[in-house]
Amino acid sequence: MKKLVFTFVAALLSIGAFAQQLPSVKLQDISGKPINSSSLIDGKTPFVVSMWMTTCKPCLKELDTISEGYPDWDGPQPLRIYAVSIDDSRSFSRAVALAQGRDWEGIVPLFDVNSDFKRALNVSSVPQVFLFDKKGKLVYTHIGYRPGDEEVLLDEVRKSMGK
Amino acid sequence: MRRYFSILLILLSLPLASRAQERDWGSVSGSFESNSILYMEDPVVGKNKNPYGSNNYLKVDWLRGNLSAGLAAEYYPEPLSGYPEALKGAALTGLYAAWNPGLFEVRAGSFYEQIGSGLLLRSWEDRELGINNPLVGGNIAFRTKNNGLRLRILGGAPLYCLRLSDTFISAGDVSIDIPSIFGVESPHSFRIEGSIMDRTVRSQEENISLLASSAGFTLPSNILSWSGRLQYSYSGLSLKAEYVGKGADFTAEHLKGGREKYDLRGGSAALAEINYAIGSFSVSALYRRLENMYSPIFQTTGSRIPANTLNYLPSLCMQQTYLLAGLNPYVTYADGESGFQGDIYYSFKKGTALGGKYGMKFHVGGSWIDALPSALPNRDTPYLAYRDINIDLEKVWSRKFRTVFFVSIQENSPTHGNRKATDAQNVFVVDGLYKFTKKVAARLELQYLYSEELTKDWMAAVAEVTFAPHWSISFSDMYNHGSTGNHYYQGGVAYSLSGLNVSLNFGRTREGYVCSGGVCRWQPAYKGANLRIQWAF
Repeated sequence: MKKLVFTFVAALLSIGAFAQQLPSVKLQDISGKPINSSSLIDGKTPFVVSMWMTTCKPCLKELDTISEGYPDWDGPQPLRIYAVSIDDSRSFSRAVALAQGRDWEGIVPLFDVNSDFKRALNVSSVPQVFLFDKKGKLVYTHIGYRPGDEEVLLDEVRKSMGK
Repeated sequence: MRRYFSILLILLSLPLASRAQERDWGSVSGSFESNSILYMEDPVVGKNKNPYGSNNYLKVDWLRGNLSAGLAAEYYPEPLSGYPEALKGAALTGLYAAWNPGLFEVRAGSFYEQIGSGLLLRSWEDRELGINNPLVGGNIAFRTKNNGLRLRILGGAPLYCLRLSDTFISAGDVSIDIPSIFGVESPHSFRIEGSIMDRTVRSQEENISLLASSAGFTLPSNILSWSGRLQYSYSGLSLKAEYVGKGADFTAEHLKGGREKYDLRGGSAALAEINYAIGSFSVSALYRRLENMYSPIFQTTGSRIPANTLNYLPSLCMQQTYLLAGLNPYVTYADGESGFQGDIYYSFKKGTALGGKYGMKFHVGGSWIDALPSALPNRDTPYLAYRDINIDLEKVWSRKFRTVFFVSIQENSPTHGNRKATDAQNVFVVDGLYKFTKKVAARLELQYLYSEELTKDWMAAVAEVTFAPHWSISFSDMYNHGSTGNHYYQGGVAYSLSGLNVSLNFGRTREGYVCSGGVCRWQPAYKGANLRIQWAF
């Protein structure tokens, strides 16, 4: 049994060395139209995915601060940020209203009403941010939000753009 | 268990194999979560039945092109307090393979599904609530290239507390976008949707069968339900309507004097929703009526718990996040209620008189819920079940300092409106965040609850210091100075690194409802040390 557990842990740790690919999952845009997550990959620029929900205050704080810093973005390529709400379809309208009412500059809201994207990315709590490179490979992730996390995230984006 | 671990090892070894053979074997991702509490005896909250509790979850997914597979496992040496005892043990709770070439998707094994807004069917996982009811079977979905037509058929047995239930769900769902199906490019979207679902029950709990036969009827083995939905959107306007009809099932009707009458009755639900946004102003309003919509995996004479559920009936009011505002939440009365919820959001632009240099965000929301007279023993004079109004104002004063002012006025009937008496409470919160440096910040919440009912007045404070991106330390205390004089304190430290989050908390937790997504479970009081590890890889 000890051997089995040891092998299991070793195999688990080995996974960290392999880049996760952006899963292809159906999402909705702000008008409710379906959009596939793989369409976020444009082959030219990396992009940020921030998982949030209406009842998560740290999520809203994180998106607010990213949005407030958006006009100051000085990276070599445009900054692409997608805020994916994991609110269920019952809270979809509220999430849409909240996203529009908060007026997040530079952030595209998307909606994962059946939690398919959340499950595919193995998100167990929000907020969690992901940075994918231009080919959709995961290069950075962070769970939770502490004020200042947005600075670290933007540094990672610059790095992934080669600056 | 050994067999499960072997399957797991094969999946986990795929990346190693890919390195060895330099072939594209796809990518593996997953998550591990462990939530454990060491319980301690306490003069206020007493002693927990078990000295410890531990809920553990593992999930691994493999993805290569349009193929995917995965598994999930759970292990509860002792379930945490407030979770069903039936969870004790270990089990493989998910195992699936899926093929998604684009226009259609085929999935075999375990899957989560929701039809419409979940009134008819929702299988989902929520670890805060102890819900994990995936369907184990198959699911086929098809859509046309322009999404004009979407079809779905599915069948499977729901999981209940780690075990396959004796219930089988089969359902079909169709969704038609009128402009798209006729190939018309239109800024208007008009969608018509319909679903049908059958719940086959292979065996019934003995007590339920006895109650049914004593009332002179036989329990049906098939319960057929359906739903019809309309959606319209144009520019910033969206409208949605849904109606659900539930087939006749075992029902315990509440009568005066605490008596119950057992019957076979159907149920229904209606939902209407409007959402409008222009610029940074948005409004959403929702009406919902439920009648006999409790839809369990299996009927039981035991208490209704979230784990034994097949549909989604969240409470029609704001899901509170501040400690005192969430002290006595409203819980949906599935036997019969109708209510309204509305929210208005507005962002005052930077540079305006009220927005100032950095802008200000405003939200006001409210709800009003009445029980249906037919669902109450006192049918002649139903009273208010719940109402609230919530206002929050978020102001950014500078790059370093921001505040939130929040007021919540709530009135909740402990009898769902069967009697006139209600519990009213007014909650006031000031929440301030100050950034000392780019990565060091402190947050302070001060809260006050004024009430002349229940446990009367409370006050609370939360203090948190954060060192981005890794560390945070927090302390909180809820003090019931109006009645019991009890303190409910918590202290904790958390660490994050990439996909890893570890937190250690110690304190006293009050008994009450724990809610997630508008669904609530009962949490007994306890004192203890809580270690939580979350790792996404």
